Amino acid sequence: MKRIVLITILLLSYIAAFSQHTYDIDFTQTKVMKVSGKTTEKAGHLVFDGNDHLSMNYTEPKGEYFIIEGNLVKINLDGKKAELEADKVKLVQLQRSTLLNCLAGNYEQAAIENHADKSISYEGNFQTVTLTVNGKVPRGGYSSVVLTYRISDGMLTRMVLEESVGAINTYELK
Amino acid sequence: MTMHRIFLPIYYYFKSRKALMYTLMVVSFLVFLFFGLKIRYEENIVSLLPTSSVESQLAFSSIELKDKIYLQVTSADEPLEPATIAERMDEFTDLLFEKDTTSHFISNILVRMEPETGINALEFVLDHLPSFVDTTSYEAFAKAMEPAVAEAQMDANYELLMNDETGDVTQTIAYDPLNLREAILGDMLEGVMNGHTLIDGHFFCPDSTVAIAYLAPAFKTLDSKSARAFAKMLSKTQKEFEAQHPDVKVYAHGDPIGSVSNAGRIRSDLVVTVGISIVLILILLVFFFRSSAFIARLLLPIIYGTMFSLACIYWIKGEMSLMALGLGAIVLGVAISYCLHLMVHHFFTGSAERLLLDESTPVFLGCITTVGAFSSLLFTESELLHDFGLFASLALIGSTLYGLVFLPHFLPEIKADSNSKAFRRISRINNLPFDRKPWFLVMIACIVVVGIVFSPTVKFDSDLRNLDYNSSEEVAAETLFNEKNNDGFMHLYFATVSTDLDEALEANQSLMPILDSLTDKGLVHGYSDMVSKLFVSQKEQEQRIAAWNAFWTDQRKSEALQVIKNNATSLGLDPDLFLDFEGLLDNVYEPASLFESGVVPQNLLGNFIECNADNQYMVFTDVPMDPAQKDVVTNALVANPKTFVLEPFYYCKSMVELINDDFNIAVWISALFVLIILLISFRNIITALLSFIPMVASWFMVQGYMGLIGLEFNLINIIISTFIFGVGVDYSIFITEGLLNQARTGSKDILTWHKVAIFFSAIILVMVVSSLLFAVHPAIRSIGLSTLIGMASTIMMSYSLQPWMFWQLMKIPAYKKSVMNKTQQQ
Repeated sequence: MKRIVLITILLLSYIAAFSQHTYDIDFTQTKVMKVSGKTTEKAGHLVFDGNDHLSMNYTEPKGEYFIIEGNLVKINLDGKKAELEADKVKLVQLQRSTLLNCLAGNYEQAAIENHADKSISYEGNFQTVTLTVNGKVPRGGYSSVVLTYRISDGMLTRMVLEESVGAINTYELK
Repeated sequence: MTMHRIFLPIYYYFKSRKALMYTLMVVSFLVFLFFGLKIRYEENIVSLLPTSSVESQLAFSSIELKDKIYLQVTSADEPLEPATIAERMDEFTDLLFEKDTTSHFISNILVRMEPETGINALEFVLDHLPSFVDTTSYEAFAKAMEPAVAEAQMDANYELLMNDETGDVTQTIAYDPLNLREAILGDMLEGVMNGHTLIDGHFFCPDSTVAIAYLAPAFKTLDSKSARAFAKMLSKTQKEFEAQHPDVKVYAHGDPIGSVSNAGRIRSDLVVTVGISIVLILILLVFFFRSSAFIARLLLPIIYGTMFSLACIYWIKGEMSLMALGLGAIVLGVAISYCLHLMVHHFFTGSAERLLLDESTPVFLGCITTVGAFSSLLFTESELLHDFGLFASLALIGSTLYGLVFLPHFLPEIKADSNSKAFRRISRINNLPFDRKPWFLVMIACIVVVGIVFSPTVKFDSDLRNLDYNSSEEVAAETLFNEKNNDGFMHLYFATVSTDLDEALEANQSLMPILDSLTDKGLVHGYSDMVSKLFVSQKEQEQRIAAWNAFWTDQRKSEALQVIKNNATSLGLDPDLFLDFEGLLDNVYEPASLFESGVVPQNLLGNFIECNADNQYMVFTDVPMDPAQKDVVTNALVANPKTFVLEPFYYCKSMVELINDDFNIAVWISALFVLIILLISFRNIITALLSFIPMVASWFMVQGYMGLIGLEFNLINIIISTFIFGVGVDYSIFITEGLLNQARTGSKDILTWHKVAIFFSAIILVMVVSSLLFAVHPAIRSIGLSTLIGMASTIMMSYSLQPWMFWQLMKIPAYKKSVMNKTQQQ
């Protein structure tokens, strides 16, 4: 019986790893300032094509967005509005790549790109991957990323992005 | 000098060989036409002015910063939101690029500051921090580390951290808890923005009502053909866009558009003025001579002479200045004058042989003296004067030769007809005894004396800006830009230049103390030293890194970190929050070139540093100043080695003054030449002086009366004044010839015919010159009045004082004897 369970888990993990993860889902975001403990709640809708197109359109606060269209990153967050070509800015390139890899389930690649150590734990139908950046965190980069995937379909359900200083952002995908 | 001895035999030779004459005339004309049309026209003002320093030549060369075109978009009636104006600017520039798909006139348009630029620049600065820290900043650093100052700063940091909702402030404080950035940056960021406000990444004037973009043309400054086509495309696109978006108005101004409208104005003015004068001249000639063949015979020598001149210049140098051609065209009026003498003489005598007998000498003499006047310009250093002198001299030679060799063969033997009502009126005017009315002579003498007395008062305006024409659209665009952005101050860009970037940067660095001193004196208002702070030479960076390392000793580092740690702990902050600062102190730094890093995009970089095709690096500094202090400030700054101002007019001023000096020399060389020719010709010093004095007197009169009525000479009208010389000496020679003939033979015929020719010549020239007063362009208009004064002086002298002086001299037996002896010799 144990063997059947193990094979099932491995099979599901394999399916999860190699299937294309597309999303069309609502999300909530909790932003906690590390220094002051100030918390901001946001919500919106996320669409991801499994490749390099991601849109996070906020309904709360309305009008804000974070969009990736291939190399182009469009931001309208916290009063800052910009359109950036990721390949021209190292930091944006890393953030874009980390986000797309995490959503697509390519956390191995995310770990390599962020020079991070990876640890994995399982709890029920969920697999939690923790990426902890080794040594110096790139300027404006994440010091740690915690990803929770549903084992049955490999879909990301929770993502915690912690900046070295500044904020901890927790995304819940429902 | 009896030139009929040369031209009469030529006439007889060709009279029996008409086919040869026609062949020679047609073939030579076709050859001149073929080569004349191949000539290249130079519109480069640099070549028109005397060569000067390398820096001044650079000021005229293609520099993106100088040649950029300012585009402005603003609300038409109802005030629009800045976001809407920014959107319209994007749409307009997109439309421009669309229209430019095939022509490729646009190199780039700086519409907005891309966010990548700011992020990457910050990264670069942090990675090479010591290179941007002026050694004078360390005093402020030491102050910031004092316990009391550090404590106050950490308290302020705490407040900021507690209120930070985005994380941006936290990151800034993490890197710089002691607020050292204030000592490093100062007003650097303001300088990057050039006083503009950024809205959605777009450049706006400080009150956010006008969006601004900078267009860099892909064509060179001197490519007037492309500039013309581009200006047309831009204007068309502006109109099309404004029709599509009536809520906004689009403005454009800048040097490339300005030069196009200048050239366009000159062209249209010349078409109008020359058009008016040609029509009036034709009406006049047809009215008096009632013959279309007369008009053709009058114009053919001019056309022949022009093509002869152009072909010769093509063979000599291949190209000439377009401006010299334009000025030379007016001088062709002198050539018309010779032809008129020939044609009028024929009209009265009806004989080609008689024409050559009577007119060969004065026409040839007039030609050679006028050519002498013009060719003296060849001794000057200016290409403009060279070309002008060469074109005018050769055109006169060509048309005179045609007039004396070919023209007589087209003149049929006719019965003289000069008794028409119109001619009787002319004769009545010509026969008025101007030289025998004492009151008139006294009046003319007074006029001459007043002119001579006041001649030193005439001024020379060397500022070419006063000859510059700006269309109303350009004036509106420039006014809007200055009102919204420049606080009433004039902005001039200064550049330090070298083939070595570091040398150029060091020269720029040495400008700063001069600018500081000018600022202290109130001559310069808030210049930006941003370029000198952002772009630092390798040597300076090495010194700065050494200073950084010397300052941040291990002991000072640990003191600084301890101060931060203590204050953080007492405020309840995690000391690890400031690890980034510790990282900055621990880093090992190397010099790096921001210019070559690729961090600053090319279209923005061009506002700070440019490397031209000759690998000369130019480092720019924007200096705002009171327009009245422009010369003082510019003189002080360009005295700095390797420095020049991106203002061609500044260099024009000294070059134009040089031309003026050249010209004054040329005037006296030509006067001497004319006197020598007159001496050789008349073989009598008194007769030579008699012909010479009216020319000199009229030159002084021009100067005196211009001074009296406040008119100034400028680059254009002073050149045209050689024309006054030419005409003045011709009228004097013809009158002298007529008077000598009357004294020797008792017949007034020659004098009468010459006076009729002078009458027509003067009327024609006055028409041409007066028509120039209708011009809009200040340079062309300025020719009109000064030349008109010169013409009036010359005519007055020829009709009154000259005959009076002659008849007074004839009362001296020795002079009378010498005049009469010549008759026997001839």
